[in-house]
Parts: sequence; C-alpha cells; structure tokens
Amino acid sequence: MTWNFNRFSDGDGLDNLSTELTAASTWFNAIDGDGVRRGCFNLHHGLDVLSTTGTGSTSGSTERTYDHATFSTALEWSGYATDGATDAGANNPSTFDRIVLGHPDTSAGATATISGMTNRVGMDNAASAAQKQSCLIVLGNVQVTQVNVGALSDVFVVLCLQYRINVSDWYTIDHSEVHLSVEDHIADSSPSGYERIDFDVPLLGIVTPALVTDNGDTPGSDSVTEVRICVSMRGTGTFGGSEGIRINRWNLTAIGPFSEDV
Amino acid sequence: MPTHTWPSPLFPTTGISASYWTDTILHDTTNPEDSLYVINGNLDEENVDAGFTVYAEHTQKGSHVRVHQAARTVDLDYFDGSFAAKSSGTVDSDTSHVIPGCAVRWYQPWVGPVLFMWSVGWGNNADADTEISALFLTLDGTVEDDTRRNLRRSIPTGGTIQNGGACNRVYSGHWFEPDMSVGYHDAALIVACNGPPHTRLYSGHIIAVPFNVTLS
Repeated sequence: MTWNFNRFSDGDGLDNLSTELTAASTWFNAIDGDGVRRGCFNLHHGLDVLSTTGTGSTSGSTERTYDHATFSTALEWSGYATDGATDAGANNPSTFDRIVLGHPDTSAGATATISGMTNRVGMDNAASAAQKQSCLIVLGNVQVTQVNVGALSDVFVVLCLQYRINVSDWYTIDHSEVHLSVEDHIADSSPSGYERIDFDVPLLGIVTPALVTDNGDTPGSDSVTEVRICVSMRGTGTFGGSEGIRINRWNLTAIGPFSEDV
Repeated sequence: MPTHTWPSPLFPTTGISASYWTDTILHDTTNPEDSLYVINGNLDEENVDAGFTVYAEHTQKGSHVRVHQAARTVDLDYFDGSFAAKSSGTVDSDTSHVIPGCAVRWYQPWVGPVLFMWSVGWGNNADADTEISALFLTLDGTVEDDTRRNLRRSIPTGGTIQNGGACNRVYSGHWFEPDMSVGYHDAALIVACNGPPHTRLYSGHIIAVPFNVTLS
C-alpha cells in the first residue's frame, strides 16, 4: 500500500488538505508494528532504560571500624530454625548461619549498615515498575582492610546488599551475600590482633518484581525506595571483646528500572 | 500499531488562510505539536495503543546505551624505581602509571551518566606495613579517590612481616559518573606504589557504558 502525500502551497484549499490527511491517517493506521521505522521510538522510550528516579550512586573513603558490640547484641535472637540454622544464643556466633541472609523484618539481624552506604533509589514510580516489569540492578564494592578475629576461629566477614520497601522494612537480596574467609587471606593463617586483609569485595544484586513478591510485598503498589550494603561477622566460639572489622572505601550504585522481558 | 492518534487539532479547518498554516503551522519549528512533527516520524507513547509493546527492533542500535572496553592478558611488572616520587598518597604523573589494556578513550555523544566497571588481578611483595601498592580510576586525568584500593601483605598493625611470599588480590570495581559532557573522554586505571620492591599486574579490563538519559 502506498500513499503519495501532495505538497501544499499558498492558495490550496483546505478541503484538499483534509482529503489528503484522511488518506494519510488510513494508511498510517493500517500498518502494523513491523512497518514502524526502526528508531522511531528513540526519543521517548530511551528513558525506560534508566529512569530519573531509579538511579543513584554513593561512595566514600573514610575508614570505619565495626567492633564486636556491633554484632554481639544483635546476635541475641532465636529463629531461622526452618532454614537449617538454630538459635544463636547470646554472644555466641558459633551455632548460626545465614546471619545476614534472612528476613530483617522478623529479626534485628546481626548486621550493620555501613556508614554512607544507604542510597535512596529505586522504583518510586510504582505504576511504572508494575507495567514495565522493571528491575533494579545494584552494584557494590567494599574493601575490607583489617579484621580482628579475637577469640573466634573460622571467621568470615559477611557482606550483602539490602533493599527497602516504602522507606520501611529492609530485605536482603539473598544472592548478593558474600562470605570472606579471614584465615584464608592472611599470610600465616594465624590471626593476631587486627590483621590486614586488603580484600576488595564486589557485590552484585538485582531486585526483581518476583523478589519483591517473595518477600510479601506487591511490586505494583510497593516501591523499592533505598538500597544499602550490610556487614556482619560469623565464626566459631564466643566473642571475647576484641573482635572487629575495618572497612575503607566503598562504592554503591543502583541503576534502573530495567525491563525484564525485553 | 493499530491506532494512531493525531495531534489534536492537527489543522484548523476554517477561518485561517492557507499561508498561515503553511508558513506558521506546517513549518513552525517552535510548535511541533501543531505541525507534521508526528507524521515525520517523531512518535511517542501518546501515538500508540496502551497495549502496544516497544521491542528492541523499534529502536536504533546505540540509541540508548553504548559500550566501550579495553582488556589485556599479559602480566606487567613494576619495580620500586618505576615510581619516581614514591608517594602512594599523592598520585600524579610522577607517581603513577596508566595500566595498558585498562584504559579507554571514547566519544560521548550525549550528556548523560556513564557506568565504569573493571577487574584487575594484582599482587606485590611488600615487606613492611607501610609499603603499599595502589590502584585508582582516573577520568580525564582526575583521580577518583573513592575508587582507590591499597594492597599490603598480611602484617599485624605495627608488627613485622611474618613470612615471605606475595600477596595477590583481584579488584573488581565500579564507578558511576552521573553527568559527562559531549566530547572525547578518557578513563584509565592507574597503579602507584610506595615501597614494595615489586608490583605485578595480571590480566585486566575496563568497560565504559554511557547511558542516553538525563538524571534529575
């Protein structure tokens, strides 16, 4: 089907123009998606790749120390038995696992939000998130500079990404969790005081509508409003008081929403 | 595209001279909604049914995002004498080197954010707590200090070296630059050292991903 659009000039009648436009409209409406010129949606659909409300980044270079008190109090909870773990007991990190992984809404959790690493991003436009089946990609980098294992053995530094719903509950992005062995990264495998690790931990997570649903929220009406990086410590034994983790320099970026189905 | 919605009104039907709509409406670049702007291809979500899905084939390659990368596999060795000023805290042309294969130069076609990602394997044989090898990202020659990573061997604070051997790590980092201008830009990883007799870099790469959006 073809359509030859006649040019107009001064003196042409409006009736002629109306006839041409009617023909143009009929022709245009008859074409299907396959007839659309490649690139014709460039101007307005590029924004869906990376929305103005879905992106944020933060970084820092101040060394922070998270000592045993940061974690020991928070360890005094019971639960997670159904996940294969048992009650940790007071100040005893030896009998639990998945201390970061889990559901912070049901437990205080033995985590600390790393200072400066909470970032307001995400699916503020809930309607858009639902319609576009969008997701949020989260990137993190943390350098663990030093660790003091204290009275513990088999010590791991645990890091993860978390997202927040409606500026309220925080949830762990389960697949983002990283366990960094301390003994494996020191020269003599015999820690003494604060030992240098100088280990950069990359973190990667993706918040999908399915993940939001799994955690009991509704992607179409509940918004992902913030992300953060959390740190914790696990090991065998009982805290003696000198345990701690030092972190220096981090980068946290979340970009989205990205479309899941295209 | 089942239903096309014309700008309304596309043309006045009475009371306006032909010269007015040819000179003012059809060719008025300041008021495209009343011209043939849409017919000429500037379609947007207002012109399609709600159920119409825009797939990748409806957009031009490179119109939303682009990627530039560099990489290498060869090992690179840097010795203490490679760094004239030997100051890991002050990084300039005298105290650092751009890492070959971990630097990209690209033309930024629009004002927008750029995501950088990289990975470098590295190690050194420092024998004192103060001896450091450092990696940074630089953008157009400016050091992004928050991307800095230091490397030392396992030594208790204030203590002495416990045994020999090198310390090897991998730095897989990222940086998000929210507002880069149109034009040519350089992104490079640089290495600086303060003391370690020998710093070795293993395989590495860097990727720059410009996004065609405006952040608010």
